[in-house]
Amino acid sequence: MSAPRRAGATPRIDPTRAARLQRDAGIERGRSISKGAAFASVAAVAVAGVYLSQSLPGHSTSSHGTTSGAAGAATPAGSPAPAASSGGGGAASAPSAPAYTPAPAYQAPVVSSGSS
Amino acid sequence: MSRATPVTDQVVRFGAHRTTRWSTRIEVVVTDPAVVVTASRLLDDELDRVEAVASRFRDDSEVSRLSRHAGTGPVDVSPTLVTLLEVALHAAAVTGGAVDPTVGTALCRLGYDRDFAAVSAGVAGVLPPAAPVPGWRSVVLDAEARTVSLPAGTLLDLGATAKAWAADRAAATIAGRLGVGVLVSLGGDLAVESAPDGGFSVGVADICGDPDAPTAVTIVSGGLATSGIGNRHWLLGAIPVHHVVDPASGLPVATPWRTVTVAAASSVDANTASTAALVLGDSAQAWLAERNLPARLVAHDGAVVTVAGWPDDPAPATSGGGRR
Repeated sequence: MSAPRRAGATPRIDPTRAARLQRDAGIERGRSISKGAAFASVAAVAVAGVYLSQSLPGHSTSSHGTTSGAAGAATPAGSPAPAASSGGGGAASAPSAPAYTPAPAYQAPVVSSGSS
Repeated sequence: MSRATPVTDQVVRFGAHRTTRWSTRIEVVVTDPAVVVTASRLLDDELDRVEAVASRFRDDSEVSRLSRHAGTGPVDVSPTLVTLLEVALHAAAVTGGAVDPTVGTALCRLGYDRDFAAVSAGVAGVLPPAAPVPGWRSVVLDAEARTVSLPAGTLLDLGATAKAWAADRAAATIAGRLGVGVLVSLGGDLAVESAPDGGFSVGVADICGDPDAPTAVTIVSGGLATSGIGNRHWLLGAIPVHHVVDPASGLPVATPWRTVTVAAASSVDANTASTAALVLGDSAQAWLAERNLPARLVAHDGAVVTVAGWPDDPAPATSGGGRR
């Protein structure tokens, strides 16, 4: 416990006490940060839980960008994105149109026929 | 427009390898003939990987194993199956369920439970009663945990999209590793990467392997797919059936189209659209046009309809075979 300071007197700084105050303030700041981090973690887990619980059957329960296969290579450009997490399929994008319009060709070495 | 004059095979200038697999015609064309063997090997590797995961006809495939555990809760699966299932579920979502990966059991009930080469001569049995397939929404995929849950009795058939995905993937791999232009064709599903100037010329035919394709187009990038009911059909007892199943009935779809060919940004997108068009029937033209997907639809009487900028067929040499 510290003694009352007299008016007009030059404050006398006790180095030991100042260090202690500084230490206590640091500890308090650390506690605040820890509390904030803990709260953020709980909030993130709660949001993730709500998101997962709302995922519908037939949909992926994670949202990826382009997906990768076993070898880790990116899915070829133009391949569709994974299923959206919204219901009804309404939010999913349609098959993508080509970047060009097919033109008549004058030789035909490769044939696309209906076996698929 | 006049009929194209056949020119010396384009593959002479490039390099090509043709083979048969999955009871269909497999082709890879590369712009540098020196790398065609390596390209063919890379394609084989890709097909091996997809077959090990997605074949309905192999007891040791992941799809078969998944079917054996259907109804028992989440089953661990490989990253490749996760990807293939994501692609299949996306196809189902964007087609309103017209392209559904849960038709496997329905196909088996129709006798298509082994490689098509063993089915094409006909199988014993009777047409089963109509019953909707389990439906793509019943598939629970957890991509993060890499697990899949299926309702009891469900067998996945990823054929509609897995083959096209393999074409996209193989084309990207070959172009990326070998630094060449490439076209991969897996039985009607084509993928193009780094095409040469002018693109690849592709004939479009109703019959698989028909050298006298009635029309040909230039493919610059992305994919092209032809789906039809004229190639994979067989007799179930005395009843003619085919492999495109209507998810609503579990029976072969009654469609006004013999074949549908679609150009899209990828082979997967093209296959998704061409298969959906068969199932959608009379509404297919509008559906394709709304999505700006160039397409060629052939009715059972041979009448041709083109959509979204697909070029008209060359005029026939003789009269007949009118357009709708």
